[in-house]
Amino acid sequence: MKLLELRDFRVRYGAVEVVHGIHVEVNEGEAVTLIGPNGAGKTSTLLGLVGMAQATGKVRFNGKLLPHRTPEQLHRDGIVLVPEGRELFPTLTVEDHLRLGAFSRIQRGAPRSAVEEDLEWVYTLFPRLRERRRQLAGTLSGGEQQMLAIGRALMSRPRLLLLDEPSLGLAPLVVREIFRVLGELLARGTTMLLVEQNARMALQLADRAYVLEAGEVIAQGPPQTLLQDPRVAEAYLGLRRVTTPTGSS
Amino acid sequence: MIRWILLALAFALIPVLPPFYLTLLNFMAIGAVVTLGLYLLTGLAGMSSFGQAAFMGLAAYTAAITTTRWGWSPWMGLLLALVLCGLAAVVLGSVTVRLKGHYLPLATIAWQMALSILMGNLVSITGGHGGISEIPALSLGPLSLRDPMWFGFLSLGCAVLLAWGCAQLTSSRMGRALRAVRGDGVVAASFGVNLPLVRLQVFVLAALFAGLAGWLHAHFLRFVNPQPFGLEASMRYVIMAVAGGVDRIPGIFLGTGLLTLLGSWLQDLLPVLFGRTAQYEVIAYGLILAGILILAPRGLWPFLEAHLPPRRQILSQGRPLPPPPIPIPRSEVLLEVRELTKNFGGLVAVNGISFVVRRGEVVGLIGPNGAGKTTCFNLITGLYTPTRGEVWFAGHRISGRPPFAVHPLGIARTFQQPHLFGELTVLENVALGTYSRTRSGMLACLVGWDKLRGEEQASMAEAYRALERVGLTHLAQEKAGKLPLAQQRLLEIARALASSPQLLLLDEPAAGLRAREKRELAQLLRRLAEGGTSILIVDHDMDLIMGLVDRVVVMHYGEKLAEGAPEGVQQNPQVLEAYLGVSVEAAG
Amino acid sequence: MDATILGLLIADGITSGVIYGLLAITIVLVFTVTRVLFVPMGELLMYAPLTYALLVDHKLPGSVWLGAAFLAAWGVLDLLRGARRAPLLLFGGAGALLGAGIWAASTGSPILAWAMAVGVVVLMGVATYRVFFEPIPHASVLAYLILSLGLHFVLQGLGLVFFGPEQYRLPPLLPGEVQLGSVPLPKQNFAVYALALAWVLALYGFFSRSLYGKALLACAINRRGARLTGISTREAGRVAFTLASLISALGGMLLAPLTNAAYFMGFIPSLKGFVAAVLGGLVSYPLAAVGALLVGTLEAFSAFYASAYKEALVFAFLLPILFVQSLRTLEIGGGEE
Repeated sequence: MKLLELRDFRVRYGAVEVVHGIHVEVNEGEAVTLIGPNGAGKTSTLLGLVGMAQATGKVRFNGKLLPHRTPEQLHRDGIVLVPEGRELFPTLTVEDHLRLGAFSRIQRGAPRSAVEEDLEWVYTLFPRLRERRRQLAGTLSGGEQQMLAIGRALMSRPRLLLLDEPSLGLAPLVVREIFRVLGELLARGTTMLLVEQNARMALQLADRAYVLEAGEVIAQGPPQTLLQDPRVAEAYLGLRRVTTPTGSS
Repeated sequence: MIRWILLALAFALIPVLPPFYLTLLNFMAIGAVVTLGLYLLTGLAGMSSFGQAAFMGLAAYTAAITTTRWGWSPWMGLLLALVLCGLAAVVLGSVTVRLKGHYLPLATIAWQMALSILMGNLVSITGGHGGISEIPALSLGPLSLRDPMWFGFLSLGCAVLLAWGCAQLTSSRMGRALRAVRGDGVVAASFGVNLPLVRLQVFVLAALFAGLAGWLHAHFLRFVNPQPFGLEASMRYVIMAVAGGVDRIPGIFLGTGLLTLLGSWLQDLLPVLFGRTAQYEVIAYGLILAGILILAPRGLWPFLEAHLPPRRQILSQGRPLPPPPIPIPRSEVLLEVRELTKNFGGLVAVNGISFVVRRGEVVGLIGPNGAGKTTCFNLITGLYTPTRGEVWFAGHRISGRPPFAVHPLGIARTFQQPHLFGELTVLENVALGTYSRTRSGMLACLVGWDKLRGEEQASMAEAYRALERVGLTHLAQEKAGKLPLAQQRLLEIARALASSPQLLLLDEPAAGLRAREKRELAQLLRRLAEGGTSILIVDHDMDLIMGLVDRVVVMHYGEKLAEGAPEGVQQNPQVLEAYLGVSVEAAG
Repeated sequence: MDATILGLLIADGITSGVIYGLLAITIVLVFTVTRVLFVPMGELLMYAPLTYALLVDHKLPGSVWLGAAFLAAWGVLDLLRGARRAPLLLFGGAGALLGAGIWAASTGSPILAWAMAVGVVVLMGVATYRVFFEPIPHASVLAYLILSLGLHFVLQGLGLVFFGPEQYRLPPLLPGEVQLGSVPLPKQNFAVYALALAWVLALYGFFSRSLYGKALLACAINRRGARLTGISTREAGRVAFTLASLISALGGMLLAPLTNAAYFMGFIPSLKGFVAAVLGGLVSYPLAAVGALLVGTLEAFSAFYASAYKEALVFAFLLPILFVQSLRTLEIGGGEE
């Protein structure tokens, strides 16, 4: 079943359009990745989707057309973004962040016990966060901050988890750890839309991928097919020049 | 042209106006002198002040005291008044120009309150609330300006002259610098603008305008008391400027004229409607202000302007600026980065990087997102101060210097997200690049000296030439905000070229471009490289990088992973693993 | 100067410092959450005792009408945004407020008048945010500041209309004086101290214990992050304005018996609150409180030595504070947020 459907989706900053009418679908329980070079419009797509950038086009979520809404409302609908740069609150503790993640649920009357359960679950997913629960977010390492950003998003029980470059600037070991958790979430049925520059990791995780270039979708499909598509190799980091000679040897 | 005809008409009206409207006209003109200061301060530089009436008061009382008590000539009084206003503005300005924008208005409120209290309470000097009367009328030679008609020529003349000056300043290097300060301080600093200094200068200039207005006020009414120089009055000037449209000179006149008229009507009308017990006009002013800020934040003028024919800039075909001397021969080390390290809190963004760029060389700086490339750029251009390590450029140690001191040595950059001024034309955006190659100061620009010397024309010609080099001349008159991404990137390059840099830093110039646009960009960069410009470029497009550069430096987690000729680096297994996301086993 | 005078001056300084401190806290609270530098806080502080004074005198003050009008305007704005239920509630609330005002005026009961005075001011505070600031969520700090200064003039002008130029003296909650050594202190001073202390503790508890407090802090620390976490910055703004106007209203009620209350007497304390808040960079509560005590003491002493210029001296004190600030922040951006 389609959870999210974007039709002729456009994002603009002032007079400049950066995403030019793309079609993207995400099915329930599936991981879909948007890949492509910097400036292709991946982040803008996510920001437009959560109401943080000016977007037009049809957005159908969970069978209903979404009118233009504020980030807070979309968050309540279950579209939750783990943003690039993490957007944490440096002087609040780890546990504050996680509880604030459930803030809008609590406001709508979610039972305390459910929140406590989720908290326990997030700590199980990221044991590092449990160790540092009383620590201020500003003192965490980059990897821990990323885990906290994901944990905070999970606390809201998202229907659709949007992730913007979760591997950015992180050491390989940490990246592997984060993708392990993402895999676990996927296995539990969380639907996610992932923007990644680390194409290898993203394609290993995802069921389907869209390749963006200059604000347009230039290819789409399952990862195996895409990897063979020469257009992809060219658009994405100029892989062609590297993989072709070494791949043929 | 229409605008100047309207002004000529205003002068022609002076002799035929009835006395009531003559007085009103004088108040409008004096008000316009104050609000033109706000045009410079708020409209151009994006700063604000609620203390303009206090500067007026300082000048008015100086005029009153020097002429009535000390027997000075009014012109000497003007001189002293301006000196005092300038000094007060320097003190107030210098403690606030480095701070966030809202400290200046807070400081001016405090200054305004303090001065109001002093005007009322220093009875022995100011006459307290009774004020000082019998200030002599001005005279120009044998002509006495006691008559409001003759004074009208002086006050309106002052307003028009200053408006002309403001227009000159707007279309000058300092005008562009001021608008850059408002739009984006980082860009302004990166193109050589000393932000605190420029902010201080424009604040002082606005205070001098207010001082002149205060002096005019004193000699027009020939009486001063604290009431017209209180916070309420300061507020009224801000409302005048904002109501008309603070970023356009006609808007300033429109707002000042309308609100002066409105004020006199309200003073007559409101007591009739509501009785005489309260200051209803103050309530009305507050509500008008709120309405404008919420419903038409850019003021009324834009609505009128929409019906006027658009103004075109004259594209300068004059002689461009003289090229800067090149002190060091080719292949000498131009830029040297030594053990550069930058920590943000606990995060090490750049860790002990060293590399050099020689004159005439094109070097690529590559690495995955988050590897610290842009941080490197910000360290080189002076936006960040390194935690450890040094940057040397053409024999100068530039690490630790602010960006506006680094840029003039010959480093120009582009930004990952284009940082342009959408409200300015393409040509004006590029002309900001010539800022550090030109010299005219704030006052020279105000009196049009830069145009008399031909410097401004040369700047525009240079800007036009830079546009030619990137092929955007057909868009010179368009507003930069309307350009699509690819052209915005070219525009950024043109702006950097206009500064005639020895080293060009390009931060992902190809990001977001389509294949054809990338090819055109590659051609442009190759032409620049062949022309001898040294380039340090960050990009992810390997086709672009590998076809262009002499050498590549690969960064990973803030450290240098590899360096060498493009072919060698492409085969380096560590680089493949780290940067391209291809594991060595898979690729081998 | 003998010990008694010294003691009196210090006590005086502390009392005014505490009031400036309360105002500074409200200023910091509102600014960090909403980016609004709310100058008319002092008018709100004065509206409370003035409303009370008229109500116990069996008069219906204009501030009750204004509060009702603000609620109605809020209702109209919500109606324009397509809301159905909220406008009805708000119109009903406006009517109820008027009704309650008429009732309180007819009985002249001090307790009712107290509750009305505080209630009207709180509603007015939050409605001001809703009606004037919420419609322009992306405006700059400077635009907000200009707007808030405009509102100061509106509220001060209306204050004259509503309450006239007279000064009112309210009966103290705690009558009498205490002798501290040779220094006589009105007991009401202690009511003011107690209120301030209670607020400091309450706010501390709110921000460190309650999730709502943390949500407010989150908005203050990182607006973008808060919105992405599903915390509504609009709601946070309303909470901040509600709290701030409650602090002001109670402060005004306790202050009025010590000094007097008149429509024009709110502005200067409010500005002194700003001077104090600037010491904390407009974001730090403890530094703002220290600043307020400094300003209060400075004022008391300058009143003794040069009473005509005491206000001027306090405002001049902003210069060294700003100078210290500018040494601390050596940033490039400067201009805008």
